Amino acid sequence: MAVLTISRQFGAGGITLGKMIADKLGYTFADTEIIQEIAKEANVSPQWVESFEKEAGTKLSRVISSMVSQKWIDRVLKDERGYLDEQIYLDYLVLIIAKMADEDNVVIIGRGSQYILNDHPDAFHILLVDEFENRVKFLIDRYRFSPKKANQVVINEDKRRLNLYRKLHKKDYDNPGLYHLVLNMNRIDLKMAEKLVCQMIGV
Amino acid sequence: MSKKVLVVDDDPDVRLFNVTVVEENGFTPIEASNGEEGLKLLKEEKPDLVILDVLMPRQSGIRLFRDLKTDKSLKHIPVILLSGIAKKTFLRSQKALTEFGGESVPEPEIYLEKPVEPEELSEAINTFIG
Repeated sequence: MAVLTISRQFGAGGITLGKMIADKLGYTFADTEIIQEIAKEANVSPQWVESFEKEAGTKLSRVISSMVSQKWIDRVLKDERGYLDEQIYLDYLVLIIAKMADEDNVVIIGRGSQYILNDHPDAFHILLVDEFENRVKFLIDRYRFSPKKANQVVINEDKRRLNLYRKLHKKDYDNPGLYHLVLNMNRIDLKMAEKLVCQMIGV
Repeated sequence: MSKKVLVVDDDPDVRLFNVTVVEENGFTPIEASNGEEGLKLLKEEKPDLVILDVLMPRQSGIRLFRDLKTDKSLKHIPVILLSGIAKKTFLRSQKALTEFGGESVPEPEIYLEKPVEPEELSEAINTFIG
């Protein structure tokens, strides 16, 4: 009975490790499920939430938010019954993550969950870090990206992570003090990481 | 003139239930089907009490509650939150929103978890405006 949050530098293997643990323990794996839930509650398409997350905190999304009126959006997006902006996204995100945690036995990937569930009695917070070159290599090996694309994706995702946390007024997301366990994937493999997590939660 | 109660819920059945309970207690209901509409009516009508759902499309009850409790001219209005979401889950989410740069807001005056009995809602309403 535990709630695991996995924060990670992009390409450090957080999603892969999360899936491994969820499969092993029969836990819910919450990554795209969070997108689905936000979409359902906000009454918008999952694609809208997904694209919103990709742009989270970027200059483009800030400019659009400040310039575009809701009436205009209503006219353009006639097929969407709901509406999403940064604040609505955040309102639903924190509620859905809190709800998933209270349902227990779940692995939650990122999205500030280590802060949202900071004092949750059953939560264990995990951070995965790795060297830039290894993260690029991980994408090439695991997802068959070209070296150039993998390199660019890691750079972009690091920026996106920074922007997202800036939006949440957080700078200390890589501070070990926030976590129960920090895994340096430069030193251990995924199997060992899985073993350490399972030992930590006593299974 | 009887006191006004703003009922905000996207589910027409729940809204009808709430409105009926409000009327049976001798108060005047005002209805809104989402937070956006609710905020507009809140400012126009200045009700004596709000009965508010949490999960609604467009502006949610979360945002309406936070807007209300951080507005000098509205924050004195008591709120009964009526939701399928557990109270502890709601409170955790509020704490996180404050931690993520939002203004600190008090807990709702009363939090009722759905389904709720008419007597329970009546009692909650009368606690504030009976």
